[in-house]
Order: sequence, then C-alpha cells, then structure tokens
Amino acid sequence: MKRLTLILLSIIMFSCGESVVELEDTFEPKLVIEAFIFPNEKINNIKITRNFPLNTTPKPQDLIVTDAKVSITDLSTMKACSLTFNPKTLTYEYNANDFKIEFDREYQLKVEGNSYGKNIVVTATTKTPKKGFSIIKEKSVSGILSYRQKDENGLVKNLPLVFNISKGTSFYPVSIVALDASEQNFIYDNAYREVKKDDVIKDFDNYKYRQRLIFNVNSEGDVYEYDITWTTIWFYGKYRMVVYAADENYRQFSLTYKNVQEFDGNFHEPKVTLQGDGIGVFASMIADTVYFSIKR
Amino acid sequence: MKKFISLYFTIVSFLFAQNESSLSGFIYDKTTGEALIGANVFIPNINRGAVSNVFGFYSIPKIKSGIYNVNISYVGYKTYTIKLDLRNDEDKRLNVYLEQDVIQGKEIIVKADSIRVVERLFNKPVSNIELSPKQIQSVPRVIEADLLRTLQTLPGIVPLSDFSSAIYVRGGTPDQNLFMIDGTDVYNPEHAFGLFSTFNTDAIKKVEVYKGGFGAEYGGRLSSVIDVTNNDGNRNFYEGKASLSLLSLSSTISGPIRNIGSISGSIRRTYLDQTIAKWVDEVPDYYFIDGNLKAFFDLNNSNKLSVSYFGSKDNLNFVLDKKRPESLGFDYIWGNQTGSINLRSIFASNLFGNFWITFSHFNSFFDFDDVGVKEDNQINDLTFKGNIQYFYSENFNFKFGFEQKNANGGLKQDFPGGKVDASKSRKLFSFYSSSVWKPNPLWNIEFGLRGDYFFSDKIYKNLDPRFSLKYRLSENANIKLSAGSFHQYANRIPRLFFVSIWTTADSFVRGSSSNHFIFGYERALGEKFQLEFETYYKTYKDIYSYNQNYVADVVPSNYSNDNVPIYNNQKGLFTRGDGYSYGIEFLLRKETGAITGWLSYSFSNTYYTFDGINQGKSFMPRHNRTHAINLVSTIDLNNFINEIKNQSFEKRDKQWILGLNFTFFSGQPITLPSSVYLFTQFPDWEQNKNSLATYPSTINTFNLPYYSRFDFSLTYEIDYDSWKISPYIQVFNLFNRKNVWFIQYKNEIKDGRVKQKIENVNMFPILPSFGITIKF
Repeated sequence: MKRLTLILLSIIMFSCGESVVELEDTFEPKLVIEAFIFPNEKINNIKITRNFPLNTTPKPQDLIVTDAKVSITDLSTMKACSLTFNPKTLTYEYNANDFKIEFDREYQLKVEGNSYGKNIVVTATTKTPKKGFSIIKEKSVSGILSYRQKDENGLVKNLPLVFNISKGTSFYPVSIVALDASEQNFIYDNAYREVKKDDVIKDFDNYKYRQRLIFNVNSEGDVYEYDITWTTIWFYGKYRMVVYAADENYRQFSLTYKNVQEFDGNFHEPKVTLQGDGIGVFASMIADTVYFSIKR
Repeated sequence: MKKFISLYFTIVSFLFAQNESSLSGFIYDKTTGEALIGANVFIPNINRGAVSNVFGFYSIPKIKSGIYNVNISYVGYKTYTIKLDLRNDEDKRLNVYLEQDVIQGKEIIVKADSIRVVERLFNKPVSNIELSPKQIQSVPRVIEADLLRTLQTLPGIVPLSDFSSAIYVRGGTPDQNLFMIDGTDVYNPEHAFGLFSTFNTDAIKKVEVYKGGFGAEYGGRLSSVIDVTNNDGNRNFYEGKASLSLLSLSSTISGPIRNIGSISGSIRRTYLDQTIAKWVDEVPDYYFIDGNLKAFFDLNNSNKLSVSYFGSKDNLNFVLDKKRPESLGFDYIWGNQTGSINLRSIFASNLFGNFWITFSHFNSFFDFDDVGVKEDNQINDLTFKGNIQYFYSENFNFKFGFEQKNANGGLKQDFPGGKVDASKSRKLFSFYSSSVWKPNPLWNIEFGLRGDYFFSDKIYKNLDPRFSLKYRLSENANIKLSAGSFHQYANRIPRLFFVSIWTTADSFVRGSSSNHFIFGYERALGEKFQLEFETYYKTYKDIYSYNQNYVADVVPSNYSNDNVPIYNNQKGLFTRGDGYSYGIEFLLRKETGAITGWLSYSFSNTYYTFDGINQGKSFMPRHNRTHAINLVSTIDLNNFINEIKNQSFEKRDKQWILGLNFTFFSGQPITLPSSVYLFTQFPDWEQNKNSLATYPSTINTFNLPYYSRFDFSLTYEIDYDSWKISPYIQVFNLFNRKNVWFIQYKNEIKDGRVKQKIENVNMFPILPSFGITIKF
C-alpha cells in the first residue's frame, strides 16, 4: 500500500504544475545587410546594422553600424567604389559620378564591420536585371477608384497590374503603401470583417504596408498580367504601388525570411545568399511606380 | 485458377503423405458468429497446435493417426474440448463456436484462457501488439475514443503534440505507417485537421500493430503497419450500440442476413455545426461524418465472401464575418472512401487462400474564390492482391502472395501567379513469399522475401528479405529476433491547416529504404502478467522531408500562354536525407482480471542527416522523445478488492469502471531563435513596427521541458434487461499541467524601442467531457 501511495504521489507530482522553459543564450553576432542597387541610379540607402539577443529592447538607431568599410565592385571592370556613411540618413552611399550601376552586370558587395566586438566580413554578389521591365500604365490600376468597384455585371473588379517582363528575371515583388493611411481614413465598412479603431491602431503598419510576391514568372515572356485583390486595400486615399524586377538574391531572401517558424513551432533558416556572418541581402532590382486613389 | 492451385498443392501433399490426417476449420464466437482472431487450437498428446488467422481459420496438417483430445481456447471464452478420431487418413473439418466466459455477466472481467501466457507470447510476431476495441475504448481520451491516440500510449509510439493524432513509430514519421482497414490502404486517416483519427472504434473488431520487423506480406512503408479489421456482424441476432459524446453522435448496428451471413454498419457525425455554430458567430460551420458497412457471406463451407466499405468526410464552410454578405470565406471538404471485396477459400484442409479487390480514394477540395485559390487533391488506389497459406507439415508453413497497385491522382491547384498540376499515374507490382519453420516446439523461424517493381517516370526494383525467430528459452520465457529491409515509394507533404499531399518516387525523388534489426525477450510472470523487452536499431536511406523553403526552390515545369508558371513535378519540394534510430522498450501487460492495462517505458533516439540542413551534420528531429513512460489501467471497481484478495468476482447489474492513463515524455528537441534583426522588406518602405525578423540557432539543439499528463475516466455500467447503459465522465489532463508545445516570439518596434514578447504556447489544458453509450 505504501508503494502504491508513493507511485500515485509521484504521478500527481509530475502531472501538475507548469513547464518552466529556461532559454539558453545562443546569440551569435552578425552583421545585417540591407543593400539594394538599381541600374542607372546612385548607390545610396545601404543599411548596415547588428543583430541583437533575444529578451533585449534596444533602440533601432543603436543597432546601426556607422564605421563599417563598405565597397561595391563592378566584376566586369573590377572597378570598386568605397561607400561612406551619411549621418543624416544613417545609411551608406556613394555620391561621386564615376561609378554607375549598369543593367545585366555583376557587382560584388564587401562589408567589414564590428558586431559586439567581433570583426566580421560579409561579401555577396548580384547580377543586375536586364533592361526591359516597366509597368504598362495604361493597362494597370491608376486614377481615382471607388472601393470595390464593380463591372457592368455587378462583379467586383480587381486592381489590374500589367508589366513588361525583364528577360531573365522571374521575380516581381509588389509593394503597395497607403500614403494617406490614418485611423480616420480606415475603411471600417469594408466587405470582409469588422475592425475596431483599437485594432487599427494596433495593426496599423500591417494595414498600411501591403505586398504581393509574384515569382517564377516566365522570364522569357513579354508581358505579365496580375490581378491585385481588394484585400490589399484598407484605407481611403492615395496609394503608391512599386513593382520591382528583382534578382535571385532578393527572391530567395524575401520569400523565406519572414516564414522561419513552422506550424509546430520549430524555426528554420531563411535562404541567405551572403558569404560570412551576415544576415539580409545584397540585391539588384529595377523599380517602376504607379499611383492611384480610393475615394470614399 | 482455383482448381489449379488446389491440384498443385494436393499433389505436393500427396507425395509426402504417410497415414496422416489433418484438422482445419474456423473458430467463431457462439453468440455473435464473429470469427475469432488468434484463438488457439491445441492437441496436448502430441503437443501440436495452431492459431486462427485474421479470418478465424486454423489448420493443423499431418497429424499421425489416432484419437485425440483437442482443446480450443480464446482469451475471455470458455475452453472447448472435443475428442476426435483422426485415424482414417482424412482431412477433418472442425468449425468451433466458443462461448464467452462472461463471468457473472460482466464483460470487463476477462478471464485468462487455458493456453499459457508464454505460449501466446511465443505465437505472437516480433514487435506486434494486438488491441481489442474494449482496450481502445477504455483508455481515457480527448472527448472521443480514438485508435491512434490509444496507440500513442504504447512503447515506441509517440505523438508530436496533443493537437495531433499522428503517430511516430520508433523514430519514423507518420507517412511511414501503413494504415489498413479490412485489407485496404487508407491515406490521411484524420478528422478535424488531425485532431482525431477517422477510425470509428465502435466498428473495430481487432487492431494489429507492427512496430517494425513486419513480415513479407506487408510492404510499401518503412516503419509500421496498423492493420484494422472491422466487425463482420452478428450472424445470430440483431444488436446495436448508440453513443453520444460532447463531439458526436454515433450508432452501430449488426445482424444476420438470413442464414448465409451477416451485416454490420456504423455511422458517426459531429453536431457542433447544428448547435453551437448556429448560435455563436465565431464558431465555423464544420462537421465530420464517417461510416462503415461490412457484409459477410458464407458462400459454402469452403468459401467466404466479405464486402466492406468505409467513408469519411470533413466539411468546413468558413466565413470570416458571418454578418457581412461579401466577407471572405472558403469551403474545404476532404475525406476517404474505401471499399474491398474479399474472398477466402479453403482449397484443402492445409491450403487457405485470400483474394482482394480494394479501392481507396482520398480527396480534398478547397475553394477560396475571393483570393483566387482553388485546390483539388486526390488519390485513387485500385489494388488487386491475394495470398495462399499452405500448412505443409508440423514443421513448415508457407505463404505466397502478390499485390498489384494502380494509383493515380495528385494535387491540382490554381492560385494567383501560378498553377499546380501534379496528377500522375503510378503502378506497383509486388510479390512475396514466406515460410515458417518450426524444427521443434522450441523454435519458430520465419523467412520471407518481398519483391517490388514500382513504375513511375522512373522504375524502381527492390528485393526485401525478412527474417524473424523465436526461441523458447525456458518454461516461461522466449527470446526473439527480427531483421528485414523495407522500401517505400510514397511521401507525404504535411501542411499547416491543409490536409497532407501524397507524392510518389520519381526521377526527382528516390524511393526510400530502411533496415530493421530487433532483438527481444518476453516472459510470462505467472498466468496474469506478460513482460516484453525489445531493443532495435533502424536505418533510413533516402527519406524525404518537406523543404520548408520550397517556395524559393520550386521550379516551374512550363508556362501558360500568359507566362504563368505551371508546376508538374516535385523538384525542390523535398529535402533528401538519411538517418537512424535506436531504442529499448519495456512493456508489462495484464489482459485479464479486474485490473487490466499496461505499463511501458521506452528509450529511443533518432538522428537525421539532411542535404543542406545543419551543414550536413546529424541532428535529432522534432518528434524525438528519448524517454517515454505510459501507465494505462482499467479497473473494475466492484471486483478490484476481490482480485487483490484472490477471491471470486461478484455479480452485479451495476458496475463502476475506472480508467487511468499517465503519460510522461522527456522534452522534445526544438530550434529556437538565436537573435533578432532589423530588416525592412522593401526599399520604398519606411522602417515600421514589422521591420524585425528572427534568426534561428542551430537546429534542434534546445530541449523543451518534459511532458506529463494524467487522464481519468469513470463509467457506470447498468444492465437492464438486454440493454446496457453506460454513462461516463472523463477528464483529460486532470491536474491541468501546462505542457509547452513551443515558444512564440513577437517582436515590434514601438515608441522608438524594440519590444519583445516571448510566451509559451501550451498543449491542451484540463478537458472534462461526458457522454453515454447504450448497447441493445
């Protein structure tokens, strides 16, 4: 009987209470690279930051690496340019006119910096897209539209996007930003669900910054048509839609870096094309922009 | 064909015959007429015996002329003894109807049979566990009795979480388990996104689980076989059962078809869509339904035919905001349909044949028109198979079989910016042969060979040898050994929310293989307890895991005229790997008396090496549970004390049954983030509160805390005339332990600082439920 009591007590002891998770420190210092170059445009807005440990609450500006050595080399001519840190924009740039980003050409980025006392060198290579990408404005969304406008049959007309394909480029991410986003401009009488003012405040950036990732487009085709559904639109007012013809580096990183937690909670690595202790991307892309407005 | 087979084996038998008789037949339950699986037929004078197979058939060939007492016994039934004159060189046919030994009318008190426990262990295949429906139903559960959740309490079988009924057997993944109902393969046996399994426990007659080292008659999977046999039906009178739980209503009815056979049917449906979903807007319209129908016909004394059907359907009609007519919504319907026709023929007393035509269909249909997503995911599997069991002599039995599987289907999907059309046709031709050699009563040796010819856009040919051995070490103990090779040509892609997709080996994905090595010891502890110990080592080659970054790796096969990618193949979808598992398992089991159940412990570890993951170094998968302890017990409270005092049991019309289940698992490995970083997705975006991302640490190097749970159920059984009414209550996770499933990280930039929220996502809390079962 004593043994039985002991067993029962042990079972009860093990079967109640709460699991205590003691997180281990697995932090590894890395340099975070946000580097985008565009043919025919100056090199600017290149951000170099540090990653930071879990359970810390740093200010974003404290993570900026201001003293990194950053250079970009044209691999066809081996001409290199050294970027300088701009304390106003908190980014790296190259202001001289002797270095130009061309279409369909390979460039290498090299970053040497320090993260939490560790010297880190990160390199990456990109090939810029070929000339040819542009939004066909007359066939794409533009002007002033009514919310969920309907056609003559009473069916909701999606927002059309038509663009010329850049040969060899299959990835076309689309950024849609509500420029007039505010609590007042939110479409509370939207077709989908009830959203309260508190929820708008809480998820404001989720509603304001929207995206579509168009991937594996036939890179040898001419024109691509895509319908953007109204689930992208949550505010009245003006919108900026930027479509990018992006390189392979950006395709791999942007398709994976946000989806690193699986449904059973496990984490996995995103696709990073940087060499060395770096996270992020060195990407080249062509951008084109359209604007439209949603009237009340 | 049948005549040819019969003639061939008769000639072979004749050539070796020497004034010998044989004894064969079927063993049935006297009350219901159901065939009894695993019943013992034993002739003590000559120490010869046989065990009835899954159809209740037994055969003892080549018995020297004489007059013998023959004992026929089965656990929970009265032993039947008959004196037989076997002097006339004849093939004696003896069909036996055993009477249930329902001591004082109580089924729960199961008496031991006259065959010793050690004999039953000796006759049982290596790594095999049998479960009866009563054992499945007596385990406290999450609302409903569930076969797969019961299996999760056995040594060597673990779940990933409370939220899934999927089973991981000796380190293998769920797609490496072969599920069969009445000989038919079942794909995706899951209801409610995996929360429950599709097997209706009221319809089950017997479940056989092979955790490894299974015989040559089984193939196509690397890890395990779960072979479910449904009730044939009562051949003597109509009987039924109805159950109401918090989740569903179910009913089973069976009865005779004149004097030629029987029919059995069951149906189960959830009712939340007709109740709570009508009153609470947040509850989606969802239900599942499943049903079985099985008819059994005695065509004549030598031929039996059964026709079996199983169907299940899950239906979800989701609307984001039911008050808004144009709100986002989708329909999601999935389910299985399986059917089989099975002919069992006795060609001669020592020759038993079994032939099937089976059809298995799985379909899921998803329609989310508002966002332009439509999916049709299908599998159709038409299989012809058969086997011949030849009971050649006291020392030799043979089995020959074939299987021809024709599978087609696959995923078709339309989504903005792409189309998937991965429907394919595949064929698998298999043959097998096995022989059991018993050189003397101390040895039982089985050799087997299975050959596969798998035909897709690439051909895979494999020969799998199988071997198992049992040796009577002493009066009370046996040792056992098993080894074999196994191949699999199908892979399952698990998906969040959506049901899994099955794909097959082709030119991009190779067939997988595994080798099993098992050694064990089993012992009868008195005539009530059985102790089993097994240790195993298992290898995996060319196993495939879903590529979590497939979206960046998947390559279109071609393009439509408007330059939209079309995906016809699985290139980039999987990551190839190898691995191994090893472990030790102990099982102490008691199947008779007022206290029944089992206590088990397993130690196991699995290591995988996958291309491109962890720099090619090995790691433990997420489902690894190094230590697992299970205690499952069903106690007849009226006779509990009587059993302890070794007194006879009392008859009562009202009875209390207590069910207990204690589970302990050591912590699972998990990958946690190592750091957080700033990254704004688009160059034209300003830094915003979502400009943060997490970066993982080394794969599965962190161990979550241990998992533990205690479940309890209490059933009050009332006998009233020919009715039995059993209301019950049960509590899952009685002490409300907060077991961690995983850790959730939320990061945002707010008020100029990074804010982090780290919280545990826990498994099920305390879950009380109640219901009632009525038998009539």
